[in-house]
Amino acid sequence: MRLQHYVYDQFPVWARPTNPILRYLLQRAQRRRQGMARWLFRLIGIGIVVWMVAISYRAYQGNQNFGVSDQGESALFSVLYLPLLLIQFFTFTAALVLTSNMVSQEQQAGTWEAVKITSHGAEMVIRARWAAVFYQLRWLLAFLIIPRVVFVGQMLVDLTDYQGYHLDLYITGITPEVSLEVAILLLAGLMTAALLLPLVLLGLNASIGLLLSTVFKARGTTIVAQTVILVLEVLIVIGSLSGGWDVLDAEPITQLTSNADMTQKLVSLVLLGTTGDQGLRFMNLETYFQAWTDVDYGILTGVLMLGAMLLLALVTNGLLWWSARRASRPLRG
Amino acid sequence: MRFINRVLISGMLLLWVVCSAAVASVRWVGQQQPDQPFPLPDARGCWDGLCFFDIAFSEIPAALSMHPRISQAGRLWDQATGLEFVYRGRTPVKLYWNPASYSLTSDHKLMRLGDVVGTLGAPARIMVLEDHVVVEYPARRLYLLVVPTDRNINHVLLSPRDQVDSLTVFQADADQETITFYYPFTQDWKGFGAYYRFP
Repeated sequence: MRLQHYVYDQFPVWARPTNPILRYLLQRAQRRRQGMARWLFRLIGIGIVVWMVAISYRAYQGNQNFGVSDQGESALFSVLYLPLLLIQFFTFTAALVLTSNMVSQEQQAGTWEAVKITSHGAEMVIRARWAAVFYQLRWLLAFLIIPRVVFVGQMLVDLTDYQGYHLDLYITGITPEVSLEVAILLLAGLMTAALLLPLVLLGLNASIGLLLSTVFKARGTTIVAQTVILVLEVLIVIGSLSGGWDVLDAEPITQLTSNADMTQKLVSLVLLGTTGDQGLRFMNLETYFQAWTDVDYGILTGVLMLGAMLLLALVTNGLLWWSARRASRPLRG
Repeated sequence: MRFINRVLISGMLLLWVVCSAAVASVRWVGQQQPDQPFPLPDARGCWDGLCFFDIAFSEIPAALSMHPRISQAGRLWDQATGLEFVYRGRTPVKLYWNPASYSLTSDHKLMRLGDVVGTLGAPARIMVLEDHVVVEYPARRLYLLVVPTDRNINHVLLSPRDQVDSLTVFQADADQETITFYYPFTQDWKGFGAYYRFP
């Protein structure tokens, strides 16, 4: 409990569960789906996840893995990759949808005017609504983060192989040559990025939704804007996944003969790790190590992902600031 | 709104430090494991204390019989200079000997290429043959025959998981003509990954 309080104390007032605005927003969202409906919703969700895992397991048994190569990946990783990818996308979509009607919902409830005439009221509500998304989607986030923690554990176990020299094996003959200490930091950088990226992407989608809610007041227009954003996101995800998979799953001979620009390959890997699957594919040690040997400067993928993650966090900051500013504008007479 | 970056950056740095410490720790734990079950020849060319170049072939069976980790040593029925024995009670090994070199081979798994590179470091070069890859440590006069799990008509993909089929050690003062492979398909070692396989 003391640790929990310590963690909450690091948050600003509006993001703490004790904050009255945040509590009000969460309670109102909870009231909307009462008793049976909530449980039914959860059961359907769990059923869909189990069904996806079963489908993926059948595909794995038939050697028809989706998105992973047929060599090097563990059974657990191969089976969970596709379901986790889909849950990730569903979670980010949910963050966008949950926030994009925020202003119109407040207006319908008749609370928006009262909020606006309160000092910093609109700004506080925008911030609290953004924080509320993390509390509302905590179970989905757990579904995303817990398997990633397990994969990090598996990576650590795999590192003990070859009498502890597993990491050393892959830093000989690569470009650039790095010392063992640097390689440890770079590998840890990937683990860090892969554990934090789902949270950052969730925050980004929630802030995009909030901006939509302050720009488009009419519900119809908001739905159209939501759809456009979702289509764009799908295109970005598909583009990032296919570009990165092309590099990772290329026939080995093309690694020797291809004249493709190494920078382009590296960019494809970084996009796969950030906007594609948020580092999930790299959480198989052999796949990540192979990227080090196949792509010049591939060893930097993890830290480049960390850099991209900070950039996305900055964008999230900017969008939230912009949303709060728009929401705080005085009402027109 | 600065809080997002403050919390994220401090969380990221903390997690990065924890992950770095975890990686360094598991590497150390891995190094505390017992040595690999099948040892590599040492710099003098002796294998597990047996210096096959220092004794005559006729003395080798007795030397094998006296070795604490070797059992059931005997002569190969169809080989004049071949012997077989069981190492550590579970690995049947065949030893082929001549005055200039000796080879150890087994139908069982001897070791993985990753075990060798982890112990000896990067080899000088490799030679891609039809079904095998010869991994060369000329400074130790050690040549390993490796079976790549992924091979195609025009490439092999070397992985640390690839099994070592046999190892051959040449005597230090052996004729250079004997110990140098003049084979056109030799390639410099450039880490695990794809290598050309010439048709």
